[in-house]
Amino acid sequence: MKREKKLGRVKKINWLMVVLVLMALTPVFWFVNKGGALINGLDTNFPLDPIVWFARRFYVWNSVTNMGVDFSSSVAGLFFHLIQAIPFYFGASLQLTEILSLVFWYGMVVFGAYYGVSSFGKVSRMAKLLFVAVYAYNIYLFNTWENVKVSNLALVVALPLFLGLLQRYKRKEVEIGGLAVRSIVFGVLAAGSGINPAYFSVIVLSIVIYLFVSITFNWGEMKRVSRGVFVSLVVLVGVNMFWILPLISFMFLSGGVSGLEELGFTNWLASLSEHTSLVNVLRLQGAWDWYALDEAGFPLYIPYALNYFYSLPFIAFSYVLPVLAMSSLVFWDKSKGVLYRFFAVILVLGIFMGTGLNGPTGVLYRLLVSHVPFFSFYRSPWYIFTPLTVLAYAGLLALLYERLKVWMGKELVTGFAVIFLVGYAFYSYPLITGKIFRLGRADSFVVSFPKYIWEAKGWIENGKQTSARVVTYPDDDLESFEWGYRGTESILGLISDQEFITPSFNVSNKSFRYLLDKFYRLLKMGSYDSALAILPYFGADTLLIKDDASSLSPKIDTDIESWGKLTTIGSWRFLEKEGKTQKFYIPGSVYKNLGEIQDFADVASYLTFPTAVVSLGDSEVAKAKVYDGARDFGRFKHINYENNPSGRDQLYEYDFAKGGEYYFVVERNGVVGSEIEVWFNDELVRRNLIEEKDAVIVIGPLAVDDGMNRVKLVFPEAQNLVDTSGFNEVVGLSKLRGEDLPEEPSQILVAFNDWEKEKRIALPVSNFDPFVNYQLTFDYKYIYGSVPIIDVLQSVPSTPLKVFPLSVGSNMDWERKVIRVEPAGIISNLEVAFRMPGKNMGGRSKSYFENLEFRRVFNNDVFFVEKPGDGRSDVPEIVVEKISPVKYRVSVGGATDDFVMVFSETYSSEWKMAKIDDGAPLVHFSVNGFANGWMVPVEDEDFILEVYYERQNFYLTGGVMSLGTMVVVGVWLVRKRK
Amino acid sequence: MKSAFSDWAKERMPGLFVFNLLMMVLLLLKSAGYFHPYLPLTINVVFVIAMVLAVCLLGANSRAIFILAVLFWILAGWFGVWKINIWAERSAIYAYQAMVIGVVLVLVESFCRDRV
Repeated sequence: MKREKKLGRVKKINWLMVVLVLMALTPVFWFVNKGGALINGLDTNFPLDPIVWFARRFYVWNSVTNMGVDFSSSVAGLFFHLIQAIPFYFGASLQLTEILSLVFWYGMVVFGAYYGVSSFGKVSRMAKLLFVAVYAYNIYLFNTWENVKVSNLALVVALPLFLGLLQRYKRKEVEIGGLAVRSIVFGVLAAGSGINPAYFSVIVLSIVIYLFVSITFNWGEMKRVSRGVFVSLVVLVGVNMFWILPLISFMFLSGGVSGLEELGFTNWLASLSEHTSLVNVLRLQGAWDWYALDEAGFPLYIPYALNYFYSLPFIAFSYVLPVLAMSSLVFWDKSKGVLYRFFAVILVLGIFMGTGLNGPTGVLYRLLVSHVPFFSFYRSPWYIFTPLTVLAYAGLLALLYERLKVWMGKELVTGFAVIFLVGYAFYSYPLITGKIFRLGRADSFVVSFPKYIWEAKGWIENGKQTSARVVTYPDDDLESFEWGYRGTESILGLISDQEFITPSFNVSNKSFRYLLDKFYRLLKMGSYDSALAILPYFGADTLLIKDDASSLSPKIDTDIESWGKLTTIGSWRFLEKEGKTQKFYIPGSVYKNLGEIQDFADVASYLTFPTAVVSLGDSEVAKAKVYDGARDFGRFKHINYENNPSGRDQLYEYDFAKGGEYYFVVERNGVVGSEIEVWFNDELVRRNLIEEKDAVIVIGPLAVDDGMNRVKLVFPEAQNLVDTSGFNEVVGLSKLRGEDLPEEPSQILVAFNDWEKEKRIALPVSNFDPFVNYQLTFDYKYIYGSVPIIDVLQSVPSTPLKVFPLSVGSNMDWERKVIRVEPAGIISNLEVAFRMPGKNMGGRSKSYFENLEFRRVFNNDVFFVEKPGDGRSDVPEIVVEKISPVKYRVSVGGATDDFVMVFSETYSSEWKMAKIDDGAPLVHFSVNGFANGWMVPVEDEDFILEVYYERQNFYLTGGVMSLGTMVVVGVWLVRKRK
Repeated sequence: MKSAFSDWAKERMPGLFVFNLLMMVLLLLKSAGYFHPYLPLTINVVFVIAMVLAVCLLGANSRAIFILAVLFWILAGWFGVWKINIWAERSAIYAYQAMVIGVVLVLVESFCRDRV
């Protein structure tokens, strides 16, 4: 009896639920046999301290990365990171935390799909399974899960949830109160899509489309459906006001953003979307990284893509899902007209938008981009709109199953469905097995972090975290380690709240970029003193040298370690400057930049810190009277460089508005100071006025009159670094008769080829210095056959770095040719390569070269810097307290006169400074091209200043509105029930 | 079957005549490069016009157009399997064009017939 009862209970178990639970557990399979490894790297950014990352989402300014950045769009990730923070807070290991987080989101995708399909009315379990399987396992999701893209996941979860909710409301299975409450929950799940608001707009768009297809064809339901859509939209937007409001402020209220780059995104509409052709979009194969192949035709990023390109079953199956979806439209069921219309419209729209600029609809898309405001924010349309296509496929497949079941019989159709599902599981194997994480490859996302990373994390957390910043080295935009981690986010940002400076693809401030590039260039050149002199401008006092990084940049030797206090943790060296550096400082002298913004980067290491540089013509600076007493610096015009770049005599001039005593600062670029002569206004400058530093040569002080002043630098002779003596022997001219050779064969190089294949002759460049620019010059005359190609090739043993090619043309008169060479600053080799194409239609080829020379150029810039005075002797003392990333308090003591206060955080008009007593905002301007400066009037010796990022108020107001939406819905429900 | 097709053709004789005439004219204009470069009369444009004409002159409904989309997509799949990707791409374009026309038509049909 008991046994029968038990069997009966087993029978009652809903097999569909079991399958759905197994689906939700898919991420668990990804970690089988992976030890303690994490899925991390590139865009994935799984935090190694989830609490820290969660806490960052409470502020619209992120001070951790690169001088600080507006974080308005990223606060939308609050809920996503809460899911990571909860298990970690309760003691779960990082791996368990990641598994739980991934299972949660996979479960939400599965649940969302199930919730959506269950609202279709009476549908069988097999139809539901088909819907969920297609929606939760598809090629689009390969990329989404590979990088655990928050925006994509939130969109994929939210789409079927809102469809299901509106359908239920329309079918009167849910009343308005239930709809509002569910909209709150679904709105919270959808919040992550706000990280890229284009994704959020797709959710709103799908709801609007639902409204359109429902009421246009059934006016009887207009009132009910409109009310449902209105309430769900209001609640969705209301719940998300905490990120919508600051983002609106960021995008529209403070000068607006002109492009995606300012939001920290890359616009690759016309580049990486080139493979989103219709046939690929329809097969869900539009991800750009599938089509990045090496020279041998192997995928650079997606190893399994080859199966989808060349394996017959995979190719055939890629056409099956679209054909089933299209067939569903043929077998239209009028009783489910709304669903058919909805899926049909989003299918057409999803494909159109996903195809982007590709034909045949690309013309229309380009028109929209050109004429519809903010349409260009759909920077990667395939990724943004394909969830609509996937939803349409899943929905139409489920409807087709139901339709065919009536026509063909349940058993037969179910048989086909099972076959389809088995095939589909094989087709989606990378997602199920975790192969999307590129297992076994050097660029795998499955990473085991070495022990010393955790030691470094502990070291930073245990009081070593400096209030100043840490600058990391090497300088690759993509951080890459020998032990496997590769990421756009520096690992320092993953493990702690330590503020750091690191190269990034997303640095938008040009002045900061110039200064950072200059810093790294000096460091790589070995000019450590000059490089480290720049650090205080970044508010940095520590250099992190990652000796475990995979990089072409040269290793930093131990000479640098004498600069400060060294702490070595595993393969990481933290070099900390003695003394106090902080993000706030009062400059001893203020300079006025009379030239371009990048000029500051070139003289920064010379201007003794603490210094502030302001731009000429800044109205706020003028208002604050900062120009009073400011000294000038600028760049001389290099007047004869273009005509004679390698010549010994280089001439410079500048029309000075103000006379006085100036220093002239000459970029060294490999030149030794004792080897140059300096002439100022036709007078030779005495040698004792020329001082050589590690990166510059300083001349002066010299008395300068106002008006035009000229400088002449006489450099040592630039040597020819290429030996051409054996060229003709290597080419082999034995097949040419004497009369076919040039008159002076010893002076003329004959590029002759009678081979079937290309002939390549490389001349090595001797004494090559990658931090110096060069030029190749030669005279050229074409005789007959194919035209040769001349390359100047920079390379390291494993890979070419930079090519400077020149196709010389087919001029039969002698012609002068020039190639300017600006090498990458990497220790490497350089060669001049002649490529003579093989026989063309059986014919030979011959060209002449004469006077071939490869010499350095003297592009050394010369700057003038007004001689500083004694500097302020009355610089007040300051004590800085960081209250939060958006709020600082600065206590000033011993102030006697007005002064400039510099805050080395990325300039934004949203930063406000005021004395805490009166609250009146001080005059604010840009300093050093990227930092904030205020003129502080002094009335008392001691006072307190408060600095606040005002956009935070939008976040707080938005947060109140989000909570308010929940409260209002709650109160409304309670009152309704009463 | 034959008689049904014959009846269908007889019913739509004027429409068939105009349809074929217009198609011939369009293809002739295309081959002669008319309207170029102001309005390039590509085969895609001709195909879309043919579908619109089929709706107007031959009474093609949304189901017929969707069947066309399915057929072209199957053709794309056939070319894809044989790795004739250029033709697969072209067929996919026709399939999508048919799908767009079909969706527009189905909305019009729904509006005219299903509206409650």
